[in-house]
Amino acid sequence: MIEVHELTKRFGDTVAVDHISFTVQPGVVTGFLGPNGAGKSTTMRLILGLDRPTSGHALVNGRSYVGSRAPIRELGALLDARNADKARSARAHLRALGATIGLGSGRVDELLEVVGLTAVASQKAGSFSLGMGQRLGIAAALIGDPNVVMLDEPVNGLDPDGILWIRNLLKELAADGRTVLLSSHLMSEMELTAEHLLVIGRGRIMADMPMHRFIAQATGNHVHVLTPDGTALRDLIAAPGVTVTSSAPEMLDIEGVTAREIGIRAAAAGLVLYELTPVEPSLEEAFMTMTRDAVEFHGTASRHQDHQLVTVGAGRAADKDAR
Amino acid sequence: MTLTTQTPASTMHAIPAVRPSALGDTRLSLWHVLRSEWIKLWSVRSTVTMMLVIMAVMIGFGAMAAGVSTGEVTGPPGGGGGGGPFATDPFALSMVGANVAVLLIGTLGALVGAREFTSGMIRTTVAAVPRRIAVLGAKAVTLTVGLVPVVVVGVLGAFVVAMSLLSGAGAATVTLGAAGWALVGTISYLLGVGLLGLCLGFLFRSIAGSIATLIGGLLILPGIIGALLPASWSEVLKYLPSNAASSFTSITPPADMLGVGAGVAVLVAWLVLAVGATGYMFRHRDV
Repeated sequence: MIEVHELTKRFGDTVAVDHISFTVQPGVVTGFLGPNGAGKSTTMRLILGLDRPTSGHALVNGRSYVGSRAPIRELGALLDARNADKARSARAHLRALGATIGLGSGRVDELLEVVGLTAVASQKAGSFSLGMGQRLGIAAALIGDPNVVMLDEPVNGLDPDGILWIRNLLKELAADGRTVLLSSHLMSEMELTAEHLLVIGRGRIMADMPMHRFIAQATGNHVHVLTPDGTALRDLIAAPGVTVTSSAPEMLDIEGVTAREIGIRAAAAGLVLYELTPVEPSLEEAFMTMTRDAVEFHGTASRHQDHQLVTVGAGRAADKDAR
Repeated sequence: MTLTTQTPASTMHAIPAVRPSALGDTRLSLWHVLRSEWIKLWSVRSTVTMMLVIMAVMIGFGAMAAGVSTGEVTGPPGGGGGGGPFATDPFALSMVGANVAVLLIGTLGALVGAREFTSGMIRTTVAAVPRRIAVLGAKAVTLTVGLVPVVVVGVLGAFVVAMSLLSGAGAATVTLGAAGWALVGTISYLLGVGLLGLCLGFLFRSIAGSIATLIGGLLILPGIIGALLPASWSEVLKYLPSNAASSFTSITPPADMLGVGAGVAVLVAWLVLAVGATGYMFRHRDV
């Protein structure tokens, strides 16, 4: 379990992470979603103790990670596959890492086998492709058989096979009762892998909920209808707040009314429906809806709220104010 | 959503648990960090190359100097003959390679420190060993332990080879007994320079910056700048690491330098300062 309390990190005038609090539960894969620069990596670095928080703290399995008895058994992290000495072989890299808690070369060989690098274990890490480097990073994260796994963009550079492999691996780790935090900007991948979602934007947590709920709440009641009476149905349900689009005479895409409501009203009017399908949006659509709303909020915010945004935001905005 | 139905393909990649044999002592300890740093030190080929070159330079330069000067060396200090210390001091002659070794060892130290940062490895290292002072300490110890045989063989080898060449040609020599403390001093200074380089690597976090500072501080500042500055500055320049070391790396301390005790104290002070500053910065900076 990872617990983050009021964690804040400033770099000079820039607030990278702004008083965020959340808990990553064991047993499910938690996706950490947000645009580049939103604070995902900084949050992970703070949890690992690579960066010192300006305020707040993070706990791993109930304790500060920095004080762990066997750190790589508590938390295995992949932040950047390039965080290895290019002149060192994959095997030596893992041996040095495992040695910090007394793991021997037997464990290293197991991990090389797991990630499929046995054949190239003696090659320098610098000679590896992006995908091979990523596998080495994953092996490094898993070598201590950790309770918590934290991976930043792990599918970067992996081929489709590798992506499928890591998806199954992460689900398996979670099913095994471990805590898995996965960051990605690839939403289709996230949607397939994560069950719980943490959305971060401009250093703040914008959503912390199960994936299905995040997607469901973003839906604007999009219903797909196939009917021979397209025009009649369109007239029947026309109302403010209801939009109907049509790409073929028999096909309607209706937003703003539930499928149930459409069915009841069509039956009452004696209209035939071949198909009546609520359309669940993708994670990407849900995310875009949310960020669009956020943009609108910023645009229509009151003067007071606007000012608050400026004070916590970048120095550039403050400069503009001063002028 | 259910996760109970695993495909056979994914169970094939099951993560093997830490095996019972390995469970006994799976915890962070200074000993384990030392082992980790030892593996890191020797798994980079340039370490091995540098170590061999250091030995070869020490012994080779000493042998060459002895060979070239054979017949020209007169008695130990004060014996006349002219032509600088090498012409009058068989010990200094045998240790001529030490000047180059200082640069090589300092560079090796700087490389060991800085490459962690330039490669990004330091983030993997600190994530695995969050107690950063342990990382720095283990690096310092493993580098020094790795250097000890190299420096001892290099220094003693240079001495023995040079003296046997000199005595073979009938030139003046010094005995091991007479040179004992100067040999110990030279070995210690070379090990200290390795530590200094390591600290600079950690402080500058760049290979070029740390090596430039090392060369500047050990060579350019005492030598070239010393020659350019007014004579009154020589009092200050005595306290530079390489000048302080000159007091205990020769049989008779140079007249214009610190005494042996003061020289040792000053160099130790430099090392304490370097390690202290490095420890403080490494502990408090984000990596």
